[in-house]
This record gives sequence, C-alpha cells and structure tokens, in this order.
Amino acid sequence: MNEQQPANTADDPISSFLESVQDLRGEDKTVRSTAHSSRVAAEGWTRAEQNTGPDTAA
Amino acid sequence: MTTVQSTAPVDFHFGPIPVMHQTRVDRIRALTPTRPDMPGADPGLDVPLAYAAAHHYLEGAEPAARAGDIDLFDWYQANLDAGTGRLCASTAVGPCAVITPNELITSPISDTPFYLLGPFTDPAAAPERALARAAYKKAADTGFADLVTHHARILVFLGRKEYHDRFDSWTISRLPGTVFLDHIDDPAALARDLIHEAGHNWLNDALTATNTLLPGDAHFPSPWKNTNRPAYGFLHACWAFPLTMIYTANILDQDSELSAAGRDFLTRYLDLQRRFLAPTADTHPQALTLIPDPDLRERLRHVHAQALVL
Repeated sequence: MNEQQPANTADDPISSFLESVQDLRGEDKTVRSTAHSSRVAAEGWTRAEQNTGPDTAA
Repeated sequence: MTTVQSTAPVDFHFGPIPVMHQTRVDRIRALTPTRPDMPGADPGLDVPLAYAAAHHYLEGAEPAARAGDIDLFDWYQANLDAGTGRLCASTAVGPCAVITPNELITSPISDTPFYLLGPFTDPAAAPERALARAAYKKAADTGFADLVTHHARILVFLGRKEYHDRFDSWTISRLPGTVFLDHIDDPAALARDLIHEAGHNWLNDALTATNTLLPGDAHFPSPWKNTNRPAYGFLHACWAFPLTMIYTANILDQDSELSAAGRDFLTRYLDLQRRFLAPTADTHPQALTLIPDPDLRERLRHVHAQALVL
C-alpha cells in the first residue's frame, strides 16, 4: 500500500484518529499474552511450557 | 488412570463483562466518524463478535495511521469490523471467523506472534472450517457454549500437529475474543485448546471489567512451568487448566464418538493435569486474596475446586 507522511494538522483524519486512540488507551499500556504449550507423548506428559515473558499466563 | 464423570456446568455469565464489551465496541467504532460513503460497522455482528473484530480494526488501523499507509488506513476506516463478516463460518455458537494465515506478525504489542484481520485476509478452507465448526459444537455440547460464544469468536489456526506433538496456543490482551491454536484433525482435541484460550480471554475481560490490578511482586509456585510465577500468570493457570480438565472429564464421559487415539490422548491429558493441579490446593487460596471482587473471586475458587476433585 502507498506510504505517505502523516499530516500534523489536528483536523487531518489520521491525526484525529491517533489522538482518539491515545485517549482510548489512556494509561493502559499493558500488553500480556497467555502462551501455553502442551505435549501428551506416548510416555506421558512432557513439561514443555514456553515462557514468553514475565507477564505470560498458562 | 481413573474413570471420569461429568461435572456440574460452569456459569460463565459475569455481569460486568457484557457491559464492558458493548462499551468498548462503541468507543472503538467512535474512533471513526460516520460517513455516508463508507459502510462502517457490520450491523449483522452480535456484540461478542463485534468486540473481537473491533480490536482487529483498532490494532490494524493504528499502525497504518502511524506509518502513513493511507490505503490501508482507509480500508480499516471503511471496515470497522476488519472484514470479519466475510470470514465467518456458521457454528453452534454463532458465526465465527476462521483463519489459516500463511504468516504471523511480530510486534511490540505482543510477546507472541499474532495475526490481524485485514484487506487480504481469506477465510479458511472448507476442511478447517468444518473442523472449527465441529470443535465449537464439542465445546457447546459439554457446557462451554457461553464461554466460547463470548470469548473465542475469531479462531486463528497455527500449525497442524499429531497427537504426540507439542501443541502451542495463545491469546494476547490486545486482541480479546481471538484465539491462536495449533490443531489436529480431531475436534475434541481442538475444543480443549479452544476452551483453554477462551478461558484466558474471559479472565482478562473479568479483570479489566472489575478494574482489578494484580501486584507484580506476589509470586506463587506454578507446577505447569515449574517456576515461581507472578499472581497474574498463576491465577490464569489455576483457571484455564481447570476449565480444560472439566471439559475433558465431560467429553470423556459423554462423547461416544471419540476415536480410540483421541480418547487415549484426552485421558492422559486429564490424568496428568490432576497431578499438576493438586499442589495448588494450598497456594490458590492465598492468590485469591488478591482478587478484591467477591463474585469474581468466588468464580475462580469454584472452578478450581471443581477440578481438584475430578
């Protein structure tokens, strides 16, 4: 897709959109994922969990 | 291995979540002013599907705007549901977008790769759609209709696996309602991971809807990852694994159509999950004290207790 420099004027749709996104996100910058790996091999369960960062869940 | 019996259904209706879903959909759609020359949001999408789709729009439109990619930004502005409607398969829990992407994206918004619905996204082929349809039905038939209806309406298939392989699955908090799943041609096995990841989405939504902030310095020993984990990860594990245990017990008890290999796979899974869950009987109550909302706290306690006696 075409790439152009975004305009800086507040009434430009892109700038307005980005300002609104910032308001929507507020202070919530948290990004969390819940990566989970499992393996049930013939000999039984293998602990094959994948750790993808301090905030990951099961 | 021991025999299993079905357990009482879990109540997944938690009042603050649907309120948050509607509010969030409205706020995301309001990012783009209504224009008569643009179709805007698809009125045919129910709120849970619109909620999942709106986050693809948000996460797709924002980087397009920041990069000055006018064509892509305009596409998202004209497709506030990121084209979800044309990607859907009809399932037991309503239309669900089913995708088999050729490649995934990496970016700072996630620790794991992910995929965003966009102008070039195609629906999955017929076999994958049929597999997804069958998995949603398995989930619905075993007491998880409400969970997957509200928390797993966009399914992104990852790799194709065999029973002895490692299965990866994940969700990311920026794309609630979307699940990323490895898969095997066995809807009962797929439904297990569908429910697990939908459970993560449920808990993320519940924590958000109740403004619950978990302390980062409280850690608990996790048998699943064999390490001390922050309360967030520990509570997620003690919720999502019990859900898959309950599902597995139910389907082993109720589904006479399981293949021998599929039955063996799920029986081994349940047997081993019992061993992982058992040590958390002492530590889970301590972690629950970090949940201020009494209703949410009780739901997490109840499901954990249900799984402990399976």
